[in-house]
Amino acid sequence: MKAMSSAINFPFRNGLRVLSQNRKMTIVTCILYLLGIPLLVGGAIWVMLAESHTDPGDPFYYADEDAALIYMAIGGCCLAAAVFMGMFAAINAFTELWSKPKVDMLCSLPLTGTQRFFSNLAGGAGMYLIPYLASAVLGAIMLIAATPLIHYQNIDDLTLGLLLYYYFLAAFGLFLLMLLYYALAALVTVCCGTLFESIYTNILLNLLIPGSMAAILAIIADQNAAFSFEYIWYPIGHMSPIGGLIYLFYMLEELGIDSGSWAYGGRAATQTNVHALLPTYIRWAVVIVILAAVLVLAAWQLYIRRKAEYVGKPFVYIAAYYVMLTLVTVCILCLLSVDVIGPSLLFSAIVYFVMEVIRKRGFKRFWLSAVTYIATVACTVGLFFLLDGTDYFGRARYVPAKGSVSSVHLELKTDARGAGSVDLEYTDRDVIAAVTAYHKELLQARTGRQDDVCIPIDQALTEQRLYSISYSETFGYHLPMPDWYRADGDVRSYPNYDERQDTSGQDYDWFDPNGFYDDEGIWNTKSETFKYADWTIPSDGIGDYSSTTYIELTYYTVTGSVIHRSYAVTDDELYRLQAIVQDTPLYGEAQANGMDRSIDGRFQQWDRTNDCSTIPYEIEFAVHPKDQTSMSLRQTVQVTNAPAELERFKAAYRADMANMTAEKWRTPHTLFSTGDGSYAGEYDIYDCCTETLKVLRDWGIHAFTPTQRIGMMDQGDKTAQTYETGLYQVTGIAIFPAGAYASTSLDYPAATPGMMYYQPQNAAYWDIISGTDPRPLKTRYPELYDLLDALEPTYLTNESCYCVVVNDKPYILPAEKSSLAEAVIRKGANWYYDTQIWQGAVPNAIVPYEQGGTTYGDYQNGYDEVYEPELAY
Amino acid sequence: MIELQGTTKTFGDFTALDRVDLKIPNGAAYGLLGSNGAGKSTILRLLSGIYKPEGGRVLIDGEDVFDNVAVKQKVFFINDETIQFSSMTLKELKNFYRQFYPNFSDAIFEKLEGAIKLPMDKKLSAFSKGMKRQAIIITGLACCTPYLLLDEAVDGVDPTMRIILKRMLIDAMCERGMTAVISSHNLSEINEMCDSAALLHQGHIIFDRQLDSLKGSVHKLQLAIADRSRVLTREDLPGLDILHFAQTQSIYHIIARGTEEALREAIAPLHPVVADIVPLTLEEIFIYELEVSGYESNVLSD
Repeated sequence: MKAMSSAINFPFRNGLRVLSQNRKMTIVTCILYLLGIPLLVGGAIWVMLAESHTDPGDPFYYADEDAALIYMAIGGCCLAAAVFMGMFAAINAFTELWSKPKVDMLCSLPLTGTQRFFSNLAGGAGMYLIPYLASAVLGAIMLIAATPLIHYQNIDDLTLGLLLYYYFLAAFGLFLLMLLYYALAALVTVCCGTLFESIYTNILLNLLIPGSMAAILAIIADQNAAFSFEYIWYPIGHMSPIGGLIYLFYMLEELGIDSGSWAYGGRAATQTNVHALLPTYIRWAVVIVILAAVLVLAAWQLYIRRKAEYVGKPFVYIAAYYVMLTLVTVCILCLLSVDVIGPSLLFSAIVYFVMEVIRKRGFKRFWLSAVTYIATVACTVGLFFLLDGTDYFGRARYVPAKGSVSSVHLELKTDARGAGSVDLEYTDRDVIAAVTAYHKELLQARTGRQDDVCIPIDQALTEQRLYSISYSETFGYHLPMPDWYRADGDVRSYPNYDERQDTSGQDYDWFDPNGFYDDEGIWNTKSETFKYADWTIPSDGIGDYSSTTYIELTYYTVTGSVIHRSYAVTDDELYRLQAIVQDTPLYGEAQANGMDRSIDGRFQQWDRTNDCSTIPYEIEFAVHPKDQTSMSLRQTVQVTNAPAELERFKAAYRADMANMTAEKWRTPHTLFSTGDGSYAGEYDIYDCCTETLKVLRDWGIHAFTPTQRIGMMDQGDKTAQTYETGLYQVTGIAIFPAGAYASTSLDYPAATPGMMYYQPQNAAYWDIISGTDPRPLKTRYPELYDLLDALEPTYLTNESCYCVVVNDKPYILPAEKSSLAEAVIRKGANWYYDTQIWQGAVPNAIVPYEQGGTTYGDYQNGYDEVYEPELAY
Repeated sequence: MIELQGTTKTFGDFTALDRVDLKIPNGAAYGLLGSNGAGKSTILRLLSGIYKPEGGRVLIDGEDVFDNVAVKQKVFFINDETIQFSSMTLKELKNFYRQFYPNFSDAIFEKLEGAIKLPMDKKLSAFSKGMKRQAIIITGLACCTPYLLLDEAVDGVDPTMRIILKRMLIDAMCERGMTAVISSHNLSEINEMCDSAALLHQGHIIFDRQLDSLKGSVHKLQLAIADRSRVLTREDLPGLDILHFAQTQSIYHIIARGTEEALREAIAPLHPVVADIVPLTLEEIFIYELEVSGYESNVLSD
């Protein structure tokens, strides 16, 4: 009985033996941990103390943050060194695997292989992990002791519990990674038979597993724009200690712990979407634990099958070596571009053969190395062909079933009007269904195409004798330009050609009907000369140059996985997605919340950065027309009782946004945009925002006049700050009927947000000189005034509408108001004795062509004149 | 009892033991002799559970040794290395083994340590090779295992201390009935300490006998016959199991197995004028037995 109980204790004693025989390393590790974590935590506490005490009378006010950061850096280095020691802990725990003299001593002890393995493993873990846990507890104690001294004025949620929560997530996450790292080191040690191989294989595998995965995933992300590396790199974080460490940092950054101050992290975390935090962390932790367990089990099985006599053999289990060798080769092949495949092959071959020489301690059977190298390269290349050929095992075309999605996150890099981005997350089943259906449509439109940039719309536009020149920032992709574009054999003769090739993605109309303002001097009103003579456009040629917009769809499934896709979309595709979000209450709520945050943030900033602790009673509030951001066109009012009034403003905007629909959004009559000086950020206020407009009227903000809205100088308009004495202004107005212009949208041919493209030979055009005549425009040209009043700067419709270009800016005239344009055309034809409108574009607007002279008017005598309508550039 | 039943042990392409059968009774002092690479150390490592046989069985008291904690507790193996203990003091060495061998006797350890007077708190790395051997032998003896396996155990120990250690081993065998398996190239040592021995060569056992019977079983015969013109060959001595046959002028030098009486009877028909028969020493037996197996010591003589 005594013998039995003793036998049971043998593994424990063997574990103690490991600790005892490695006590020097254990002591060093302990010291590193005891320096590392307390210095890190102490430094962070010090920073928080310094940040939170703003009273010069407070001793912490003078705390030296820089010194604290240096202490933290030293602590980080110590901790990193201690963590790195895990590899040596595993190697030293299994000395019988690489030290010949110790094989007899240790293997003859009365232990089974299993007992020896687990007691060795436990002994090594003891010297590696127990000091860490002890120092982590010490860090927690420091945190608990210091928290009462930390008082942030503006961060209400900085509690001890929150700090400890973050600390626990970080410390426990690191513990799990150390466990994984140690398990991997144990496995590698079991696979090797010498100390040298054990060390270098450990180091290389730790680098190569995440490295090769990153290299492969980077290529996948590069080859298929739908995959974002930001999302597909997640497996790296679940498959290796270093990858896991990066992932842990990523999660902590998501929590806000990225600046050495948990305090701001606390505030950031409260704003972070909940699903991204704890469930993600738990899932990751479970995967890491499972992986570590798998590694330990593999190491155990290999250990008990390993013969004692294998010690001294470089690689006992040669598979470990070939895994490493393959990863090295894949890494090198992936990191170098396909364009330099020759050098990459050569480099990988050199590395491969050097490793072979090291393993074989010579050149024995070297032909076999050549064969295995060729096989490795072939497998690597084959892997990419397989990925490409199978659409990345179907993942590229995978759309999760709507029932499996718990929430969907949508991000439009810019909204369909080119304004701020849309970033929303939905759990609503109808929205999820709509988005998955939309996603399938996107994939269908891209079927069989190598790229996903504006292809469908390009085909359709081409069929309509429109030409699309699409541009992608990602691929530098250009569709061929139409032949006529190069008709003269010199593309540089084309106006703005160089700018069009600008890789910044800025786009230009290739034809500007208001050539008066063009640096190229396409049209000079005074000289009546045209500079397009050296190139020609066919009479039916209409081109387009469109930039691409990106959307991101992120599904969070009920099983906890994240599916993310990114697409460059056409305008129509963008509008369809925008319509989905527009009809959801969440969109309006997000808009309202955004404005709330803008206003609240401004007041918080005011409160923090000034000595006074109260919100100002009176503020200045400004609005401007949607497309006119000039300071001179703003309406600025003083709002008294600002806190209460702004609360009223926020409430009104929230109510209006709740009633906003896709239809209202699509056909708005925008009145105001808030902006700088508004305290509210950039938000559009539509005519349907009745509550908001009521508040603005109460404040004294009135509707902009038509001339103000289009930035036209009108001496008679005294309601805005547009009066500029002694100057005159030429306003170019061109009217295009449906068919004489095009947008980049097929669904909405009359769409101002996209790029417009004009058929200038079918336009009516006037240059109006203003600024010197004291009479208001409404008096001088009532038809024109009414037309300007009805123009929409942001409008989407599939009806036939006039497009009016005013000073290079396109406006849509709603179809029901077409008569206003026709009235101007008819009237404008009579404004001068020789005028030409257009030829046959609008039947009821045709004015007989009369050749004659031109009258310029006597603007120098203080009278505005309307220049002749111009035709056919 | 120690028993090897058709035991085979290979190292890659090399067969260290080839279907070896061996029995060592309890209480025996058993010597393992053999050429380098014959498989002596392999047998000891199989017996101590370090190696797992590829074929056959390795039994102690009827149980397989490998991965058997109960059996391994009965065996203490002292190999020919000492470097593994360098980082320990003698005290630590004692404590280390005391954990794993429940019958460890502090009294025996102190008695033996007192006899050889080794420093307890000095690292073994500071010991001479002989001192290290002394340290591990007294530790092994203090473990009080029924089986003690020694691989070149007293190599490097001075003659005086060698006698003391041998005495310790003999005492343990006598007092506790300990079985000792001793592998050594030093035949006189085996001759002095062991009562039985096996000779191994290239993974096979050449013989396995009690030393006393072994010593009288091979004789050196110096023979001369009256007819000097006649040249004798092995075939002229059909009754002899000849290990070695050589002629120097009219004298024939023959090493043959068998008792003195059997040899005399076998050569009687030749009517030798000279017939000196002397028993071989163990060393001579070792050399001539191995010569029969093709392991000759006079390869450079020609």
